[in-house]
Amino acid sequence: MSISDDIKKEFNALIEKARHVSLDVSGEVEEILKIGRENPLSRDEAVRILSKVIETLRKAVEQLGDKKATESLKGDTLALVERIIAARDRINNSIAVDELPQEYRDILIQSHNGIKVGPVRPSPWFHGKEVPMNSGFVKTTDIQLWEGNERLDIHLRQFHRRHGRRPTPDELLDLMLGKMQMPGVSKDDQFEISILARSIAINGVRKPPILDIDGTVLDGNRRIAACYYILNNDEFQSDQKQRAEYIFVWQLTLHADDDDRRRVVVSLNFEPDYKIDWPEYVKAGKVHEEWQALLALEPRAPGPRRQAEMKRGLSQKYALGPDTSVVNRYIKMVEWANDFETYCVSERRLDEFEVKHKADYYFQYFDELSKGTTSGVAYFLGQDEAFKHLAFDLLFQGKFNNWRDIRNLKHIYSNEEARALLLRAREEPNVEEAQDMVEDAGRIATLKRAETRTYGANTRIEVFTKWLEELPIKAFRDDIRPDTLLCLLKALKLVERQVEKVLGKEALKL
Amino acid sequence: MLELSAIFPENENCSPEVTMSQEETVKQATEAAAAGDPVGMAEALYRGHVIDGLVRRIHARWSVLGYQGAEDAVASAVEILYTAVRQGEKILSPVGFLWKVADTKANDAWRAAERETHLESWEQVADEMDSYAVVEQEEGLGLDEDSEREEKRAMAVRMARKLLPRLGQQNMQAVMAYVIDAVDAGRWDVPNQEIKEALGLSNDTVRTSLSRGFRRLSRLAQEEGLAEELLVEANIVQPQEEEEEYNK
Repeated sequence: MSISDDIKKEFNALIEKARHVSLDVSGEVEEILKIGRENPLSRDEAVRILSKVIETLRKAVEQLGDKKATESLKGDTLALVERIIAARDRINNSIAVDELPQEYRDILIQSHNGIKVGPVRPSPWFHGKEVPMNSGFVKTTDIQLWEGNERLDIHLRQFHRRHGRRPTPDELLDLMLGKMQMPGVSKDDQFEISILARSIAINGVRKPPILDIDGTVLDGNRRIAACYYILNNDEFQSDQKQRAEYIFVWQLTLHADDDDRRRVVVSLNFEPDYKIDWPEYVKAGKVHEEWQALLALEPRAPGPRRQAEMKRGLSQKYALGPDTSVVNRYIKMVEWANDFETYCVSERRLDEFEVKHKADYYFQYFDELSKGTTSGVAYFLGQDEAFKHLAFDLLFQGKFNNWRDIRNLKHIYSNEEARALLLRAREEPNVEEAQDMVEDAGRIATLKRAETRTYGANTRIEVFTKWLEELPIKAFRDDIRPDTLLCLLKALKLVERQVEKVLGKEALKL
Repeated sequence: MLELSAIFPENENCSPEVTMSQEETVKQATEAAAAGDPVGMAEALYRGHVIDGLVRRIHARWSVLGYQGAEDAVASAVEILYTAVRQGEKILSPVGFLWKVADTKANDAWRAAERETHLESWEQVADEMDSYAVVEQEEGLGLDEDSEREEKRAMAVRMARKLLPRLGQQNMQAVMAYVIDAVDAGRWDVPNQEIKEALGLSNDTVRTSLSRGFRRLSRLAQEEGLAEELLVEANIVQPQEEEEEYNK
């Protein structure tokens, strides 16, 4: 390259530089400020860049010999950065109040019980994006439920068709509480608000509902409806009502856009939270343990009224509702599970923990086993220890197909053939075949019962002939007793005579 | 209170989306810098979401540098703004200033990365040839690269000044001379507002003069033989004949 080429290149660079320094960047400046407002740095990003800024400034002021500036930059970088971030957070919260339209100011979050309004730290993420939020309290009665909630879509359209308008906030609440009768809505408390309310009355609102900047509920309609329920229901005491009066919420910042709103809704309604509730075996065990402790504290064996009172207290304590049904159920189930475990470990010499795992896995079956102490499953199992142990063995071996098999035990008890089939199922090493046997035993027992109770002659003959036709030929040789076989032959001869008499000889040629 | 037009001089009807709080915080930033309070300046820029917007924009424009590269460029820009204000430079548009510095810094970083890649490929070749002679030669040249570059830049400035009378219109000559002087003085930002006030021209005249001036300068520089002529005129090189005579 000649020297003139070289200088030409430098000249072009100079022109480019001159163009750059004199460039009108007012549009760019607006864009920078807009992006900064709408898409602020996350806390981590802010800490990083501000740390760099502080470090760079520190070097520069040292070179300049700027003593005053050097003094102001002294100290821990992170502490300075935190100070800068905190200053903006403080200012932004006060700006939010000033910039909101008047109608929205009433639902702004506020400090309560010494807990101040402030940014949620760390900033929460929704559906892969960081969405900055502020947290604070809001008065329950100031929040209006979100009628855009897809959960209510059918109800809202149904309401609109009937009334030709959208529901008022109070009507919306009635819809959620099931107070408004709507054709097709079968459950009284479809959204299970009362159960949630009982939990909130004891624990408060544990997961903050999320409000849009104008107070619209983006997530937590049920929790807010439950707080209304507490405030308006005599079931709850004054301290519980007080707990529901103010709700701790998260609120979007002024910088939130529609994409942020969409992400909040998608994240909280479409993405599972992977929470696994404690198994009922564990929960019921806790309740039973507490029940035993309560009984031990009583000076004498408590009468029925005292027991009911104690169980009500227990139910309240474990958020199981105002009545004692769940506590009763849990206590019975645990008693049966304990009986099962004792039998398996003591008599069958099975591993204690293997047995516990089985009890946990099949815990719901103990509910069926414990039902009917006067004429149900529990009664018949209580009549015959061997029959109960047979049921326990089948349970441990996993040979019950479902709860119907358990329920059939009360019919099987008095049916010799069905009981024999259950015994064979216990010895059968192939679990699937054993399950078929248990099912057959139930069918035999229930059929016999059904026949004697309701079926007429036609049904009985239809059922019998169908069964007979499906019976394997080898059963005549291996299973059916000779006297039964002769009995059958005798009956069929009788049938033949009757057919000839009623339908004529031609019918016998079929 | 400072008017929006003072911060955004080119856009007197500033967008209503630029909030008064941002205007105020930018003003506070320069006041803090002038008072020797760099932390106050950084705080004001962050409070006004200026740092947020700069990082986002620079990252979007220079994504090849990554987030760290964008942050480095913005940190440098904030430091240069502080130094400029502290040394008494009047900054009419602090955000525009920051943008231009950060953009230039990002460009420099990208060029440096490109050069490094180029050098690495040379090293690879040298490795393969089992000789570092080439690299040593390159490194040797790099020792006084800065002073050589500075010299060339000075030549280019002289050449540009020589070209100014050929631009024709006096206003255009004055505007372009102002900008060339500013670049020569190491200025980062020369807003049209400043040129307008300095030369007593209208906004439109400044804008048009800049646009046409740059176009004509570039065209003139491309003209055959003109560069050599100017270089001779500016005593940068000897005439061709004299050089040949000398070589004999």
